[in-house]
Amino acid sequence: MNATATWDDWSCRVRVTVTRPQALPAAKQHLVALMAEVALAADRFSPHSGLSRINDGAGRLVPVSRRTVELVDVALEAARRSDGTVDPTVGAHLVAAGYDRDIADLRDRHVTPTVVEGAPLPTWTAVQVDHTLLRVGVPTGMALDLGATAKAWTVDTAARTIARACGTAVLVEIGGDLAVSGDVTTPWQVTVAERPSSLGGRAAQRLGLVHGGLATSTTTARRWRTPAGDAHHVIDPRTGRPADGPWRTATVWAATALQANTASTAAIVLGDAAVDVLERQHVAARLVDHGGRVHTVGDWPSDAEAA
Amino acid sequence: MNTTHPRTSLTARSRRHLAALAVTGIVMTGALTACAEHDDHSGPDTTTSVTTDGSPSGTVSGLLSGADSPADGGGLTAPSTHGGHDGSSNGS
Repeated sequence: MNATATWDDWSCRVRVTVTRPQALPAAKQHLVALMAEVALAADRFSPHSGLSRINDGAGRLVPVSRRTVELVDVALEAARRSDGTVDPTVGAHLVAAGYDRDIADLRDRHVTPTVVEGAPLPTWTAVQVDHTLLRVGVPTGMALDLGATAKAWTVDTAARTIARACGTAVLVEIGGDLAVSGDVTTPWQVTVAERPSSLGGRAAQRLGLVHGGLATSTTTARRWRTPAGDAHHVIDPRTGRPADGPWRTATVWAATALQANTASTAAIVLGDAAVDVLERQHVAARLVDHGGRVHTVGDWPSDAEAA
Repeated sequence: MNTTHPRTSLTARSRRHLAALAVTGIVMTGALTACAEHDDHSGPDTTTSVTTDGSPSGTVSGLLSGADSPADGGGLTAPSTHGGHDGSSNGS
């Protein structure tokens, strides 16, 4: 019988499930500690985080922690592998779009976005990382946001660490990003949905997860109102504005949650081109368009198979 | 003759107990830190995740180390008929 702990953090639902119930307290402790470490490095809304100090010091190299450098490297690698589609230098454009505070304080509120005249478009190649002196720099006017890759990296790292340290198979979930580690005799039972409130809805699907990671990116959860209509948090680096493609939600399975999250975010941004790109990457994906219709890519089980 | 006051003896025992707890806490914290540090410097890791549902194709392997891991497929199956819920991938 598996044992689970759930709680809220990072404006998300956090879950850790273990196959050895005695390991649950230690597993939760590992995850809580790692999340605190990552927040210290990458919390955009904390003025003391490494990320905030990088952004506040735009135009120069800023000394930061080793963990901050590591998370910046992870984000830059995701940008490289996605040909810039998933770009961490969208920070200034997120703020300009209205996402300048925690989503809990922003959701369902009216915001007037600012127009950032002359601001550079997201350009991940402009980020400088000094691995010797542990310094990171972005050009003036540019800002980093590590929200996507940092979360996925955290579940991957936590799952691997907990399985090894606690001697249990484990599932770690933070707000849609999910990773498993360790030997299991039966697949993990997971549900894919657009939002927690729609778990039982038409767009939800139950699956068995054998190994790897899952990530769901959606434009339906982190939304707020502007005079021009609703805005959301998935920024298209090519325009600096919220992505405007045919997919409102993308769920991807890949070997790691980080790969899955990079692909799911890219799918929202790429729009019509997403299916070809995902097929070339040999990942399994489930895309939901604005009409609620579900399209699957690769080896994703159909709803009929999963039913 | 035992001249130790019972209350003093109890207090001394409490102090030793608290000291033992403190040491335990430090050791546990150290273990947690050691695990974290180990992961800070750990390189690519290979883990075999095995599940069997009676079918010969149920054995799979997956690399969990990060960006260089290939997506080798086979990670998803139909849900169990026995129900259960271990996790969710919900948009957020």
